[in-house]
Amino acid sequence: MTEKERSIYSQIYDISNDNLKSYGIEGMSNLTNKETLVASLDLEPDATDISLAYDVPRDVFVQAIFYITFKRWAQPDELEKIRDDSLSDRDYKRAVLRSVYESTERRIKNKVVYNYIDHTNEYTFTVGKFKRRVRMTLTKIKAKIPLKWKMAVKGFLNKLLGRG
Amino acid sequence: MQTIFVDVTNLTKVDFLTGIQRVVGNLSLEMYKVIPEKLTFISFNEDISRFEVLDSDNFIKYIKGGEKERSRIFTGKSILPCDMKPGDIFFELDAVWNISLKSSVLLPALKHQGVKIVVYVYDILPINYPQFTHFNTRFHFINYIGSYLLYADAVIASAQSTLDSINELSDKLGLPRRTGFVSWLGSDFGGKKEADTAGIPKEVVEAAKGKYVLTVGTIEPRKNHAFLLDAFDAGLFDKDVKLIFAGKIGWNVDDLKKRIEEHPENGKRFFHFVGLDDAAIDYLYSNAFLVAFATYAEGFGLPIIESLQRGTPVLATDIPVLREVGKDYCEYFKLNDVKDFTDKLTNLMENPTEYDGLKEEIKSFKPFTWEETAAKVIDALSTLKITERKSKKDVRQMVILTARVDDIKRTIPYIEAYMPFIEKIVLCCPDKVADDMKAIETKRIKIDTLTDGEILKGRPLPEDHGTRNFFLRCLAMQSDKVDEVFIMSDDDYRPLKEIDKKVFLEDDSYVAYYCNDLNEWKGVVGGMTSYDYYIFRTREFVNENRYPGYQYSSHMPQIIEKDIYLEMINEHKGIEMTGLDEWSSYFNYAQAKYPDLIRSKPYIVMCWPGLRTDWKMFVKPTEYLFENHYDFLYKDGRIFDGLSEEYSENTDAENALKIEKVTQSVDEYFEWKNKVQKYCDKVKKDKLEIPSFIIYIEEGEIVLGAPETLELPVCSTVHLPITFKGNKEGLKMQLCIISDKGTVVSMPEIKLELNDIKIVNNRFDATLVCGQPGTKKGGYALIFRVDDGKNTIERQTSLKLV
Repeated sequence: MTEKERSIYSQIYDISNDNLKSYGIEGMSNLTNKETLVASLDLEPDATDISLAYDVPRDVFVQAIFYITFKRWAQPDELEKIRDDSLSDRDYKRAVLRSVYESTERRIKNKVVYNYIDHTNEYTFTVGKFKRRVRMTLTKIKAKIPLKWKMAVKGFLNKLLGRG
Repeated sequence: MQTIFVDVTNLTKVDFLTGIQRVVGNLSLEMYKVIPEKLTFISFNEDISRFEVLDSDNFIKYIKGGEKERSRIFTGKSILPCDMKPGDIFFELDAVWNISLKSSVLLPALKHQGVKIVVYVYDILPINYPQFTHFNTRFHFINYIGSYLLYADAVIASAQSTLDSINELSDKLGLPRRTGFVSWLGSDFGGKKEADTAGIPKEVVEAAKGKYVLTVGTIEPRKNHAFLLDAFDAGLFDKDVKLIFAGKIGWNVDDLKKRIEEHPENGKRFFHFVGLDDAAIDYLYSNAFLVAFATYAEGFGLPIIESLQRGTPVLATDIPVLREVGKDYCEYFKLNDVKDFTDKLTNLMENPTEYDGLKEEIKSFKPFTWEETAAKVIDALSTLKITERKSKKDVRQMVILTARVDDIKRTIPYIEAYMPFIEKIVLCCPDKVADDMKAIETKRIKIDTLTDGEILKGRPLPEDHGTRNFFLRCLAMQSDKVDEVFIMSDDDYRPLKEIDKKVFLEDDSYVAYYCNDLNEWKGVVGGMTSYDYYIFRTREFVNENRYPGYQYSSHMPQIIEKDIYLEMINEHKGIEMTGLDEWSSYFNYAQAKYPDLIRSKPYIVMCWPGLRTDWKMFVKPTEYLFENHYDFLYKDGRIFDGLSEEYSENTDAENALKIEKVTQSVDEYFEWKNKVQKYCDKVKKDKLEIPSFIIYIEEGEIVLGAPETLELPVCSTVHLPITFKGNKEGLKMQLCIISDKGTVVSMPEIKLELNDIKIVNNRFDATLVCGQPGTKKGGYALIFRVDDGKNTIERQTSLKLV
């Protein structure tokens, strides 16, 4: 991300925040949130290059990774689960990545990175890619089956299972 | 042909259609009726992190409701920005800020590819009215709107008020306003129908008996339903008028939900209906005394249109966007003013003549149709259509900037032998060598000169080499001695075999050869030259103007159309003084203006870089038709030692040998590069982190990071990316490979003065040669050392040479 882009996103954050305050509502005043926004923008789309997050505070890094991966903030119990002050900064960040990417949420097992820009750095997924191929093949096969056949099968299954 | 890629991601995923998805569906349908051949609908597939191309016919059937199977609309074919052509349009029609695809990453990549970007903006409420949006949405939206303000070529808004708010935001940010268009929104419903209760739920028909005020829309804070309840509680319930809410319960309205459920008039004179179908909504609209629209903020205000279409008067908040949409057909009240609302409603209830007059006026209201909305959108998109321009058919001239008589004398025989279509060469040279240049003997090519004096016509010459060359080339374009199409070259670019002009002219396009990506260029490792600085300046130029960003200074002859070069100079006044790369500035400009005219291909020249250690190669030449001649390569045991630098009867055979040697060398380099990449991929998969080197200066302290283990091909030349943050003044960095016996095996020990390095987006490259001939595979130590003159910090990586 360039300095100009970083500045623009920060300014928009401030404008939105100021508007909140002008309506008498406590703004997004927690400094972590603006830092998180900027950190997450720096890390996108590939959060595994944590050299770019070397100077990012741990709590900001955690939130940035959650934001990138799950589009939400880490809950207090999740933060507690992965907190480990005995680890060095770098080891801690690695542990966060592992914890997040090994999560079953949204079935992102084996999914290492979002790469939607070009064909370089194509990663070999194992089970994930296989499952994806199977799913896409089944989708294509399913699309070719006439609707009335599918309705008939569905009806039969419903009857068998005692559904309405 | 220009393709318009229309992103309809959310529409293909949701089960319940929001207002925005209805707009996306209707617009897609109407646009497809007019320009089906130009449109490609795409949807972002989170599983594969790719856009997926949709089957247009099935997608349209799906929107119409004719195709029930959503799966049929997906083709399984994926597409990335690098698959799109320069001049294509990426049209963001859907509201996609909440998905994993980040505009901040996508849009620069699209722009770099030469793709035009258009976005349909429904509103910017998360910025201007953040209190009405979810916390997460605000964050996603900052990324979304910020990216589009930075990169969009055009913005289409649903209302002028929305466009005005976008422009205001651009002004606050100090960004130039994007070209804006207003399309308005059409309406789903077909107009007032006769009261027909068939199929309408009984409770709705019952509630609709008598006089009632209706409000339609999701119950959320922004829509201000609480205000309507306040107004009715303040006395309107006593005035023989009912209140009906039609809309599901949204977010952040727990208190209001409770108030609605427990309201004493609920079921008597106050009703809340959820999940009504179109027919029931239509019935309610048609039979209402009045529709109330008490919203705080809107992007458009469709309920106004839907109400007026049915001849039902509207009492709406007096805010700019509703004034724009409702014009004089509505009555307006001050936002949140119970008294004003009550007075105006009571007035209409107690003055039938006035009420009837209002209804009569509404009859002349003509809503926008979706066809008209689509026409406006298509008009907006057509402003970005590709300007057709065909290449000239012929090229016979070469123009060379040179002050070196001996060098050009040695190069011309190669041009004569291998470029038969070149009939004349113009040498742009200092006045003092013009006579020597003109005296160069040739077999068939005519030589002419264009001296600095003729070019400058009294203007001073810039002192810096990089600035000077670009300056001279820009001014030379104005000379009549330069043909309308010519090959621009330097005195050390030599053809290697016979070349047809089809190398430069293909169909009706010019072929432009790129060697790198301007955004990737980090300069020659350890020794920045003026070349590097003019590449960095060119990068700023193309990014500032949102042109594509390939690097075309490939150190080979390239074809130029003079008129386009002059167009660039004219459009960017003063550009000749800015010291840009004369090839990259021109080709990226030309491709932005005339996408079909420039066909970009990987370069076809050897010896750029001169040595594999110079810089990280991004592009592998597809073949070798030219040589970037360096005389040092012909001595001291280098790659061409023993071969001739002069054209002779042996040149064909020697060139063939040179090609063989270079091919082997470059293939080897890319083999190493791929091995290193595969290794990094594996580490990434296993450890969720790529091997990285970091130098971080924190409050004067040096912090270093290095991988614990690393694998590199033995005797390879690799370019290691180093992440750097902080002040680099006075810092020195070393990288060396040491055997277990303490011998340095890297060749040579790399020492870099970081002052000489250009840090690009917190990165620079360091070259490492992993051994000398005879170095064995096995375990070594890679020492990474940084020294600030007072302290030396070192990290050791366990290195395996494979």
